[in-house]
Amino acid sequence: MIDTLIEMFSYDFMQKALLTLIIISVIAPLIGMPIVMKRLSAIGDAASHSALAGVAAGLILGVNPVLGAVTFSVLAVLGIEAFRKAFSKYSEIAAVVVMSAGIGLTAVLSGFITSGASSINSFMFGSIVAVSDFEIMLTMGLSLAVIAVSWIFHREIFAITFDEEAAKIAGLPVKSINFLLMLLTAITVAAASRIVGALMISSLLVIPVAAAMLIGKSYKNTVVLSVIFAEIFSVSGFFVSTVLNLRPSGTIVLIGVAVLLILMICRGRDR
Amino acid sequence: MKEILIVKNLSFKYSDVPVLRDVSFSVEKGDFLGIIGSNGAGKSTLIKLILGLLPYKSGEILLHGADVRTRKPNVGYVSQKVASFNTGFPATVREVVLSGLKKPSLFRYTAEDMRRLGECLERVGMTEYGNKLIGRLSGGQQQRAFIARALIGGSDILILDEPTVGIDAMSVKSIMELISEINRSGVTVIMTNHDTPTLVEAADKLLIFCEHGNAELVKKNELSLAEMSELYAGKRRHHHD
Ligand SMILES: Nc1ncnc2c1ncn2[C@@H]1O[C@H](COP(=O)(O)OP(=O)(O)OP(=O)(O)O)[C@@H](O)[C@H]1O
Ligand SMILES: [Mg+2]
Repeated sequence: MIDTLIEMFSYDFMQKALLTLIIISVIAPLIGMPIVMKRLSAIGDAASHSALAGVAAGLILGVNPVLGAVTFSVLAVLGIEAFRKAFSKYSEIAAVVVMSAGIGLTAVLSGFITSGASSINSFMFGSIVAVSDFEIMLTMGLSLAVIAVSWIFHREIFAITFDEEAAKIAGLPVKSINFLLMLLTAITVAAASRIVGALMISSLLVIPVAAAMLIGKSYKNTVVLSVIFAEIFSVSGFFVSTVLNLRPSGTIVLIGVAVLLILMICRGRDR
Repeated sequence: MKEILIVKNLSFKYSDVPVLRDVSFSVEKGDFLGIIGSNGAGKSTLIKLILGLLPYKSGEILLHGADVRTRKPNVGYVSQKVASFNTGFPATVREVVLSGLKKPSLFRYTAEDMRRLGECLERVGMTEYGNKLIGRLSGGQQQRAFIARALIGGSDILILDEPTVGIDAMSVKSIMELISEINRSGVTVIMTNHDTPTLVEAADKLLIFCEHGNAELVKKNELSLAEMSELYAGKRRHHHD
């Protein structure tokens, strides 16, 4: 088993994949925290399904699919913002409408992909083998940008997540920060779609946060814990999947769900 | 300039529903203004207008001498949060109170921020609860934390919209005492409350909503005993509920 691991990690792409996974596991819970607390998890789904449509469009047009994913997922959150004005108070409706558009577009567009039909599949469930150096650089760059922006605005993001009305009265630019948050979500989802897979990314946004919320002692502490959980899930999932020859993204998500269930049971017993 | 808030001929409609009609009053520095009116009279609407959260077309609201539509007013605000907020939210009292700072300093809290935090927690009697999760506290303690958040911005005016709804009777009394104490320290207080007698007791000026969106300002010490007991009995509230 050790031999298998050593052999696998002598490959360049495995090292790069692990590094990318580690960085994505920082940004996913970082963005997941305000999204979950604001009960906007549906936006992650809408963005990821639209990202898939972007992948399909990229493959058809001969543009890098990750760039396509970023473009479409940003367009998706812009669409949600537009729909939200029509259904103010029901942001889920807006998210579901955009998600439906994303799924529909993916289904139609994928019919036109002539070469490499397996590619769209690899974006759905993630892939570590197919990642190019350019895509790794792009993912890294986007992730670092997400980390930097959410660090700079962490006070504002907390204030708005906790109480939008009070934040408005304290003079914070609530609309701009909300929009920034949506944009960061779109970028995170698109950046992660390559390795983790568009269908899996929502889980990486939500599960580590859910686990951290069970034991967090403050907001800051919960954010830190959620990043630690995400790292544990993804790194252990990566190794387990390598040894057992499973799909990495699925393994990561299943480990996350298992840990969450164990925590819930332990906490229930404490009460 | 003693007047901290001037409302002149203010009228307001939600699309077609008129709520306020030609309301005029002023509040001086250090006043405790109680707003009294039945359900749907327009109390919360008036407060949102003063806070600059709703646009209005007719009349004028001057806070600290400036139009609230053009300059974001510097006020401390406490809403009826206890009844509505998400108790699963993992945030400590400290984190919540600090989020009330007007201009969050980048990256780190300054020594001044921390000094204010300590001072505000002490003022509301929550010093020992700074590191507790807010969702695990009682309604009264949560509301104290929200009052501290409203104070940390350093505003000289505190606006409270039904701050005691959803809080047990014992805590209501001590919260009202706390608000009076804050008022005595020089902060102008404007508040609404469903419990009219308690509010009449604490306030020194009353804005009484009548029917049809009119409201009149009375000073408590100018009220006759008969008018006073009418107020206590809630007769002037025009109950629709
Ligand atoms: N967003 C809104 N859109 C349309 N009408 C509204 C809106 N908010 C309030 N109203 C109406 O305006 C009137 C005044 O409401 P407001 O909330 O100001 O009353 P209130 O005096 O605070 O009542 P309560 O004692 O129940 O809190 C009510 O008739 C209400 O139905
Ligand atoms: Mg009201």
